[in-house]
Amino acid sequence: MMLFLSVAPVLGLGLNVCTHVATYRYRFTKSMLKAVYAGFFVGLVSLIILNLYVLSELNLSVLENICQIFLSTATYAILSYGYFHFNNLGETARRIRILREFIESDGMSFGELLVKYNAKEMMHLRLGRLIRAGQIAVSPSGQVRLNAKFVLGMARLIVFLKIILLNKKTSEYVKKGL
Amino acid sequence: MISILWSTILVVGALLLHVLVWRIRLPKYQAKALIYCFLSVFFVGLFFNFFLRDKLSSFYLLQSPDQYLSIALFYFATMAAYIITYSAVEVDSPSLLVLLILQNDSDVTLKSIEEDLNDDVLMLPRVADLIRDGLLIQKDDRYYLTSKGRSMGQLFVFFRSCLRAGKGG
Repeated sequence: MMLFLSVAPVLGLGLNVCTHVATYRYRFTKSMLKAVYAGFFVGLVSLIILNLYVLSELNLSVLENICQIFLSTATYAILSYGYFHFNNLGETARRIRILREFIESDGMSFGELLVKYNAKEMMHLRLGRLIRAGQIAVSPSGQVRLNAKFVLGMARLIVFLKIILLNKKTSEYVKKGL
Repeated sequence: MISILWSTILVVGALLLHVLVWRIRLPKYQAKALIYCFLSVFFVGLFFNFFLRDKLSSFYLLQSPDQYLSIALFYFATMAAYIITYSAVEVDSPSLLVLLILQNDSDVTLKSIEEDLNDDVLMLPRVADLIRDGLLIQKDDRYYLTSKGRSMGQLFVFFRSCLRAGKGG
């Protein structure tokens, strides 16, 4: 029974993926992020119910029960985080988009690639996403300002990791402040 | 309790080794080096549990297969999550660049962002990365997918088709 509980987070992740795919595929929501949240929630609730059911059949102390549920949900949360980023790679990663363009062609020069996918299109997609998510706002004169501090916090965390690991902040383009 | 303790010890150990190695010399293939860091700490942890069980109190060591399985799952999930997050540290994301630019400068327009983050900044380095990682090869002035690149691309094509989502980017 305990061996079964050890792999329960994988079952939770399976439910998460199925719910996410079904929710977005059949357009129960148009928002990818809401579909991701729905998947995470269904997987989490199922995992906790499964843990409580199996643990009620075993004779463990309260502390052991709490530790088991904690480790199980923590593992599930990390697996879901990895899945969230995998989904994000398909959604936003330049490398994946470039590979997709090459799959549809029989070899390309850099110029031919730029006809299919280029920085202008990329920035258009990304700025659109940031605007729709309310993270940045654009004035009628075209001036851009930051709206959401939470996302900036995440960006700062990445910069912090860069300083710790790579001993640099970010590319020269930010240092110059454009 | 012991599973949580060992999960924490192993993950912290792997992250410390990662920082140490990176501070000594930045590896050329960073994702591969990260996998080696995590694997080596994991096997040292297993060694410790297997071979020192006679010398240490069993209170501090893993005992049952389900504990090993729980820890392995937690540890490798953490490894995968960290490696996938690390890609944002390794390479500047355009969205991250936009946010940091806006933080530093209040006089930024959509046009200036689009002009400065151009193909030389955003596209050329990514194509170079794909060649370095063996996903694309260059013959004369043309680029071609390798079998590794095709497999990776097709995985995402399949996943996006399941979602009925667009190309992304």
